[in-house]
Amino acid sequence: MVSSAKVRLVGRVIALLNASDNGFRLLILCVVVCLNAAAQPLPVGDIPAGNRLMIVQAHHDDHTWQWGFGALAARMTDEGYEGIFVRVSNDEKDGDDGDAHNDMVNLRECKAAVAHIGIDTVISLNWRNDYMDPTPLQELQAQLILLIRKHRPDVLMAYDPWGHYDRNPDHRKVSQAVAEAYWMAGYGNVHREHLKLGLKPWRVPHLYYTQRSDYGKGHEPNVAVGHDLSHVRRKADGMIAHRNIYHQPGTARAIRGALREQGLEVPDLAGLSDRDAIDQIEKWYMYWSSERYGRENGLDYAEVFYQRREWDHIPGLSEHIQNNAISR
Amino acid sequence: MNTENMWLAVRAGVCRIVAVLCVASFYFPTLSGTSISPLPEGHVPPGKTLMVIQPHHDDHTWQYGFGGLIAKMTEAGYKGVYVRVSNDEKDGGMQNGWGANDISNYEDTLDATKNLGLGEVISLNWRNDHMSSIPHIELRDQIILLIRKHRPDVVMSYHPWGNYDRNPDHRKVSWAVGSAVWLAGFANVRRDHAKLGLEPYQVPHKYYSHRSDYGRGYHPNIFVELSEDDVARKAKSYRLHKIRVSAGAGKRTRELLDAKGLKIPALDGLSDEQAHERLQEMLMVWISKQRGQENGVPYAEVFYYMDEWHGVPGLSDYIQANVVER
Repeated sequence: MVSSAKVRLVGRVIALLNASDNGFRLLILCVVVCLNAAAQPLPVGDIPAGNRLMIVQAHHDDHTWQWGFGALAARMTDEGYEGIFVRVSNDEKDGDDGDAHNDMVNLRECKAAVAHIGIDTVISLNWRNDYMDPTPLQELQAQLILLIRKHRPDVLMAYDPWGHYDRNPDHRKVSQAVAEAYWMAGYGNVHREHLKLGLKPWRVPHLYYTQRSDYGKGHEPNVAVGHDLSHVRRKADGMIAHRNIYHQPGTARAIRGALREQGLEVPDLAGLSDRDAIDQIEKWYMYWSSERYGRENGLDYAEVFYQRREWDHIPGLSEHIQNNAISR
Repeated sequence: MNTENMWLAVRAGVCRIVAVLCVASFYFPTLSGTSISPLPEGHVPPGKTLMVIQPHHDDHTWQYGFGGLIAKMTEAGYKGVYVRVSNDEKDGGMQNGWGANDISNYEDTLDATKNLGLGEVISLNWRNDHMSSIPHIELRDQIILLIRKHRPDVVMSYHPWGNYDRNPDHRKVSWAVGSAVWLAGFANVRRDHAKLGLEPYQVPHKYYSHRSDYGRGYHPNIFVELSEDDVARKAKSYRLHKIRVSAGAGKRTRELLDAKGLKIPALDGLSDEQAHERLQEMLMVWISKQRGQENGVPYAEVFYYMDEWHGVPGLSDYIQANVVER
């Protein structure tokens, strides 16, 4: 199937060709052919039908950073989804105010942050931050199976368990547990004690994985989902709502100091306090990543994901349905 | 037409051709070289014993299993052993409990592997779907012992590096097999085996398989052509696992389509069991044809294959370039 991004791109190329002389046309065509060989735009994904999404991440801020799901979640909640954010760690290491205080402040800020993207429920499993290597995969997997069966989400979002180079033990452990729980929650013979509590098996139809895309192979996005400027703004607001860790004037001071030593400055930051400057820089990351993925995929703003859809669990079924299903 | 006009006409013609190729390459990626290239063809290697080591009763025959290759090898004279690592207690209804599932799935494995020409099934009976927590080293050592005892010419298993596999049993077993096929040849590993009369043994031919729609990690490097009969035997073996022809997936697929106002006409009038069986058959033939089409034959399976010289990098190329008949 040809993506709408491709159609738009081809349209733009044809318009440019019509407006150019022959020599310039050749140049444009060479550039287009080279670009086409280098990077194919991803298919553009839409918001799936459903009414509940669940984001399961290791830490309070993993949902909204540049490689998070902030804009997708904001778009889904705009379209009627209700959301649940599961924070698996206790975030005790994020901040300078002592472990217990960090846990409380980060949880409070997490609630404020997800509110920006339309989510009003936060569940914290409170496993010890940055210590998840020894957390038993089986136990975390069982907790997540229970949550999936209880809340029956139509959409699940998490880090990609196959994303290489992730140094963070919490990211690795949580993403593996999510991958297993996503599949096993639909299996009636797994944790049968849940059935006695009135819970039923639940197969989550749609799954989205993300990961830092500059971490090498492993994470291979297969869909781009577009959003608009308001979603970028809400994602950015969500990110800087984590003030305990992001609102650090020292970072802006260090960046500006290093530039000053080289005789440079960023005009946008001139006249701003270090606190305002760091907010500005962090917002800029957000716009930068949304614009970049948008540009690469023929959209204004986008995020990219590895997506599994409701028929993908049986190889070939999706294609068979596409070719053979008709309206009743 | 003067020279300048002729040059302009040629230039415009070239522009049009390039433009057509450019636009066409967006619609047909094969033109820009992004389609799947055919793999080298693999053949049944010389030998007489094969060992298939998989976590579950049915992993050998499903769409991404080895059913067709096993059928080809046993037709060529191989004898085979199937090692089921889990107890398959979760695969089945719970009317009679986990133990009944274990027994029923084990019996189905005997029938299914017999249909492919394998003569023995060994079950290690580790707890199904709970393999995250089992010790890698213990499983690996069990497999080393089996390899040294049976001395197979061929070992088949899931690919340890196949991405996106959510199944903890698949991951654990493939990692253990990946380690064991190497360590079984090392005399200093499990020296106690030597006291039982078992010698170190290097498996010459290894075949790994995996779901190829799971992204990176697994890269097949050969295809093996299957006959229609191989595909039919593979499909029959799959159906001999009764759990695979229960109504479940067929019923659920129809229910989900129904909720969207859709149906598949070919399934009209069929019971849920029949619909499920029809879907499974279709998908088995579909994948064999798909792999065949990609490699220029009617039916095929694809694998990551490591030959007997694979242990030393470059040795295979060196031998090919330098070896002569004595």
